[in-house]
Amino acid sequence: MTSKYSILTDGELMHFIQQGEVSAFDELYLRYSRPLLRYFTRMLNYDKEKAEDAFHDLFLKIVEKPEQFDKSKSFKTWIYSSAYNASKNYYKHIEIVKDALEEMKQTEDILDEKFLLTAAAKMDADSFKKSLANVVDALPLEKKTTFILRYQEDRSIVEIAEIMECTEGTVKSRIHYTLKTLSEKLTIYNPLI
Amino acid sequence: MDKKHELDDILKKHMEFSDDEQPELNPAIQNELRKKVQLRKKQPKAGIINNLLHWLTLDIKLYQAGLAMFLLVFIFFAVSPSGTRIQNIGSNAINPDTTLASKSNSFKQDRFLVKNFSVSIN
Repeated sequence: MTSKYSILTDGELMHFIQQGEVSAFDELYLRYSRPLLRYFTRMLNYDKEKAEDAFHDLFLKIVEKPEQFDKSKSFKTWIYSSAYNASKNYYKHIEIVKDALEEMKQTEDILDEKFLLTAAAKMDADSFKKSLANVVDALPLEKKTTFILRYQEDRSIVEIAEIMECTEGTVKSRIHYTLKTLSEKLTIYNPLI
Repeated sequence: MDKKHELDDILKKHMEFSDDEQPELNPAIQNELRKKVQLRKKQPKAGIINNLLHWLTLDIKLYQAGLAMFLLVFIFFAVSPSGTRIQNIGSNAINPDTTLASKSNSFKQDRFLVKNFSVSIN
């Protein structure tokens, strides 16, 4: 069953939420609740309780202060930007990663994509997935967010740059850094050795 | 470039949550949020009596009272000089209007006397 709100854009739904339309909220919740809960779950290292708290706070912001939504931006960018800021505050608060705000060093190394592909093919899916999850979990906040937004939430480089308020170059460089780390972790699977 | 796309696809695939990994949504959160949205709904407009009652119980702020006082004092001083002048003229000085009126009165009286005189002759 589709409601009349299902054809509306996110921005239009926000307008109706401001007017107290519960069905508009239901539609927006349907669109974003799962991806955002997944985002927080991954960002907060699979801590279900903390992920739920962060998720709850974010949606509370939507329903209590919908006027804060900047209509000049896309809703998707705005909501992920808020989610990123929420996790940033959280990281600052509990100090999971002390070097979260450390400036990233530009790496000139050339990433061996072929190696990563071969390693992924050689490993069984579960092992690769586990290695990838371990690498991502251990990343500092900025790099972790970038990687999750790119490969879990399927956001483009341009969108990520907008969400995280940085340049596209920085986004690319963060992804590059993560892939390099991943390559190093998977050296044992290097087919050339 | 193809390798890059291939790698992208592999990474996306492995970053997906499997069915057993999917975090479960808490329905209590949604219910709580729905209630908060409902609270935003504007109440229908109150009737005339309610509006009147509301107006009667309006809270007046100190600055509003001050502003009103200032306005009253300003109006008083703006109006009072002409009023004072009239009073002064009435009490101390000779009022040209009154003089003229008294003059015109005596003129009327004279005309009346002349009229009566002519009547008595007839």
